[in-house]
Amino acid sequence: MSNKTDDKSLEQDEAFIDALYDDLSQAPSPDSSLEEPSVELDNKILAAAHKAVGAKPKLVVKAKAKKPAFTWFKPIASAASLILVVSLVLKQGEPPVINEMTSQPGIDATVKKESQQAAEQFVMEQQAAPQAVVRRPESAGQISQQMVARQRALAPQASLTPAAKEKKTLARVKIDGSQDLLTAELAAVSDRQVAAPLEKDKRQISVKIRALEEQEYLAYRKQNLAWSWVEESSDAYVIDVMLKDEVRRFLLAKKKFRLPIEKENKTGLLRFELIQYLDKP
Amino acid sequence: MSRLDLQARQDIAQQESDESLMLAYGKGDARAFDRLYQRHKVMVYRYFIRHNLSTAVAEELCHDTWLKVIKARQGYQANALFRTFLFTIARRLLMDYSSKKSTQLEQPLAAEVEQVQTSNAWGEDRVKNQLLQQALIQQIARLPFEQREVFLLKQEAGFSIEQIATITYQHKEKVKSCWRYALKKIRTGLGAYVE
Repeated sequence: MSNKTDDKSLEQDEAFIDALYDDLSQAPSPDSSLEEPSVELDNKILAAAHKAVGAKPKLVVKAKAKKPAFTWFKPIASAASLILVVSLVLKQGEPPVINEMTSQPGIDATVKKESQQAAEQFVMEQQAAPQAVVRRPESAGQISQQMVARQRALAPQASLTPAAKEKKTLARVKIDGSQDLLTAELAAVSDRQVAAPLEKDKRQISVKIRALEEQEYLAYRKQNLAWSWVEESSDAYVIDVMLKDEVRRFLLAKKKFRLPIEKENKTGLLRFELIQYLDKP
Repeated sequence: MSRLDLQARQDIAQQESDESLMLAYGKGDARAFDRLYQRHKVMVYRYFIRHNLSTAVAEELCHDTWLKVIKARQGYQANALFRTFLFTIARRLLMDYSSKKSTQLEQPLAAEVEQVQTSNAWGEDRVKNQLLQQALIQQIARLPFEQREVFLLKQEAGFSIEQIATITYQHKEKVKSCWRYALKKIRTGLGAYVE
């Protein structure tokens, strides 16, 4: 009986408290902030919560990102290395293709051209005088072998490059009034460049040399032209006279002319007034 | 409503439960903790305030409670309600605090009542409700600690007698007895305010 009374009293008390809480929850509170934590506390707790889990995902992502990059790189690098090695081995098996002419160092375009001209001239001479020397008809292979031998013989002409360098140096000199002299000097250098190799191969170029006549001597002396020494024999001199348009080579008999040939004069240009005519008209 | 929609709604409800949010936070989802905190922050704070603690002490205990939740995120298992887990921590901290500084627990109630009366400039009904609220708070504060604890957990936090017994590590009948005495005292104390 008492238990039933207690349970009934408890139910009434619970109903009273529930009704009281309902009324108070509907009524506006004058200061609701007293029932809630402050904003500062909220921020503090939330920051701690975010910080606690902030570092973990980065480590997982980092570890996963590295692994696949390494797994695909290794086989591809191995395959690329294998292909490279095989291609190099196959390349080594092929015969080398080397042009003999182009492999010669120091041969410029001029020398190549001269070599080609010499080879062509050699072939023309062979064809033009078949009666002089009785030869068997040459095959194309033999002719080409001869041409190659010829070209090899001409290859040392690359040593002419110092002369060519001299020509280039002179061309760079600023012309100041003495244009004729400079032109003549250039021509002389050009002649020396051509003449030197031709001494070894006299068939290739024939230089016209003629004796200097009295009239010419007087005219050139009057103009006081420039000349340069070429060579000297027991009874004559050979000189190149620098005309306006060309260079002429003359033979001066020692009976008629005297040249002041000294060591230093054999390289430079001299004036015509230095040439003495012995047999005066 | 189709069966699929019903299942979808149940899934959503399941995802939004406190327990799933706590498990998600344990896996690194910080937003899950944000939602959990927004749901329960006032209830935890009121639990401390209703024990007649100052605002500063209540905030300090709130802070410590939520930090313990954060630290326990990876070991959390959804064997019981999250709220039971949360208030077990809160109560333990309160017990530690009350055992250390028992003299600072109580706050003079007369000052609070006086504050309500002087700041009142509202209508008659509002004044009545506010006075009733203040009287209720006073009656709760005057309860013995065991009765007050059971009353707050039942009435403010919404736990059942069985759940309170779990939280407070007490027998169910003792909890029920505390609840019964607490209600009777409060109703008697508020008799002057309720017709």
